[in-house]
Amino acid sequence: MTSASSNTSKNSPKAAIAGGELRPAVIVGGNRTPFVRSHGKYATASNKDLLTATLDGLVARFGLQGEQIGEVAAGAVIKHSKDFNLTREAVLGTALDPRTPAHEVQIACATGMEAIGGLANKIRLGQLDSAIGGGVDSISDAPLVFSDAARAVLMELNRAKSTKAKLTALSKFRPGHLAPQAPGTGEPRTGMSMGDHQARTTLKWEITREAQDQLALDSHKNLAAAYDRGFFDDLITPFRGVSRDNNLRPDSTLEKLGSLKPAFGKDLGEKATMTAGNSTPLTDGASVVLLGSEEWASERGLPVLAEFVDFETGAVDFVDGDEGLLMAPAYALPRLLERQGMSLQDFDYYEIHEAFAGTVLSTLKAWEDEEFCRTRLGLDAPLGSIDRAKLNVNGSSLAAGHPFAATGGRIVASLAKMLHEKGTGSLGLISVCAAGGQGIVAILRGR
Amino acid sequence: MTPLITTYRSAVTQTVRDAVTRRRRPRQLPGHAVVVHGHRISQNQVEDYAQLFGAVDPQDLPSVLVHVAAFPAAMELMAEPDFPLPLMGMVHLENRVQHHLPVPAETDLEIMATATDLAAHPSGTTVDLVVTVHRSADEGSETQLLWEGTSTYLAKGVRLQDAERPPKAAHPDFTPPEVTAQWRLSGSTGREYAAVSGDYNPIHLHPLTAKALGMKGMIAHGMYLAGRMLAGREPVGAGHSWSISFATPVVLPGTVQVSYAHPDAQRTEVTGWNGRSSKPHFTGVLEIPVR
Repeated sequence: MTSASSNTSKNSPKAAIAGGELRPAVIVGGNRTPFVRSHGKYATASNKDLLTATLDGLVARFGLQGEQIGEVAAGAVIKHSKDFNLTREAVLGTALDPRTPAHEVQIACATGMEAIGGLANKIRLGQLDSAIGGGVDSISDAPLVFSDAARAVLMELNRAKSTKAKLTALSKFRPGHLAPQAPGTGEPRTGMSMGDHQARTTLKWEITREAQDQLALDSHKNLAAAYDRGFFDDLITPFRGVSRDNNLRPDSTLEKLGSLKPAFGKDLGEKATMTAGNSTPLTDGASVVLLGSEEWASERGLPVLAEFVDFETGAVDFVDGDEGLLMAPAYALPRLLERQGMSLQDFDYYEIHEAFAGTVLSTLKAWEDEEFCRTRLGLDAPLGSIDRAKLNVNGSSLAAGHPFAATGGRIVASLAKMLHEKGTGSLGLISVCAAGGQGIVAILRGR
Repeated sequence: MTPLITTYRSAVTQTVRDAVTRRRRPRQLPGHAVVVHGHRISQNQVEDYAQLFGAVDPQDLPSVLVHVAAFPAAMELMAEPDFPLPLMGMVHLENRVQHHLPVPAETDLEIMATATDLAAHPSGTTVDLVVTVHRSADEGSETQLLWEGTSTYLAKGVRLQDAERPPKAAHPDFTPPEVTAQWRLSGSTGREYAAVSGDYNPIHLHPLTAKALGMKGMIAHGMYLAGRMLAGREPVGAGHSWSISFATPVVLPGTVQVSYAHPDAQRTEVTGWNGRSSKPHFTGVLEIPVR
């Protein structure tokens, strides 16, 4: 018998999990499909198709054919029960070594962030040398389910052993049971759509229609400009004949955005400000990010764009309106900043996921608000404002679209590249809100 | 004993007969109570209720399920020949419940219904039906009060003998509070709750039968709204009290705008209203003592 330590090479330092030093987790690069408005070009692509193709694009980009990756973690918010092992099944369909383990993650729209952050932590602890994290979502491939009443009959039929019992079960079936229930975007505990929830928050923070439309316009202009200068050339692989996010409207104007009727909070009457233009559409797509230790990347001659520094998850009590559904990142941020000894103004880039323009603007206003920061965040002084020229500089979800679980991977890969271009030591902040009153904030440092 | 559902059915038929002939100048309420010994709330009823409102602990049943199980005793009282108000067309105004201790399923319960407080109302006469639920005595233990509920009903157009008609209270302006939830109620809500509660009043079942009885359309059961209001919010181990009062009916199918507010640690105030007309459907209060 040899001791367990004989498994560790004599040259490599002890892993942090075994008492050694923490090491950085670095971002090598990423890949995503173009994001496409639901029920369009990807209508017949399943979550597994999208994720497999996106992983294969990453494999091709970084020459990982036949490579055994430490772990792959990804998830989907809306998925079929048959996809119980979605990520592992996708990995088995790629050119990666089939001995690459995979697991699934789900925390609504922050799924990609959680997948990537969790993997980064494992790398830092020395449990993994390499990892791929990301997410996928397809509203076009959403499962339709039977109503509870119909399901009760079918389950009874399934349990019935005798013909008589089977007939008894079948006799309870009614034509109305055939009507399937489509998944909704409503919060289960309130019955309100996410947009109707945000409409309350937007109103509470007195975010104007004009400010929201301006943010949406900036998102489209920034994304279009990023495409024009080839920023996405090494971040996106075309899929099903699509090479650009098809929600992008480069020629949008404030006049056009201003002409749209409110889509959410309609009961607020004249105070309703949220339209289809300043809210994200339902979108299909997938994204993945390649992470590793510095040694793993340098051994393979792979680039190192940025370091995944830290992340923090938050949740708020939204059910009876104590706080807005999408305000959790506002609460998570001060904990992250304090832990890292940073201030809100320390960052070169801010990536705040544009679930709705109102979400971004409410969050920024909350961080500027003395009373909110004191009473809600327990801070002596407000976190303050940010330089808006550093916000979502290459566009965000309003223009690109938001396939729920794929948004984290889109942001991490893009921000890592931006920070790499900016230079070593540059800092980026990510904020992603999620259904269920949750959210994740994260810090990346450029290499 | 007679199953309560049978009592309920006979009460309804009795009512149909009596509605025509009953005295219209009521003077006094029956002095006695209707008592049901050894009633059990069945596991089936628990499961049916859970289908509609979510998971239920069979050892600690929701207040509205206890009401559903016990209220037929009050129906029986109201259907008695000497009950002074016609049952048909009675309007449910309000419910107040004190849920002292957990009510378990499949356990013998003593149910008692009495009628009190016959009172003049601007639109007719109101009566309170008080229902209590005790755990039956067994060896070594006495009966124990678990639950008591008071339901206020209005018999429209019926005038109390020798009573002045009170002036109509001015309708206070209703300003909807901040919405925190929306209930989208389908056209089958009334039929689904009828199947659970045994309350097959035609005003809840189909638009045509409801219109035939003078309603704008088929409407949700008041106690369905109470069940929704309380779903997932009653404390483990009971000890709470709640009330609901009804303003305008919820026409099905329809969406109810709902607000849950917490003015203090033990009090939840609930308001339901129509988002289009801004008319209130109900207001409710749930009090959970801080332990």
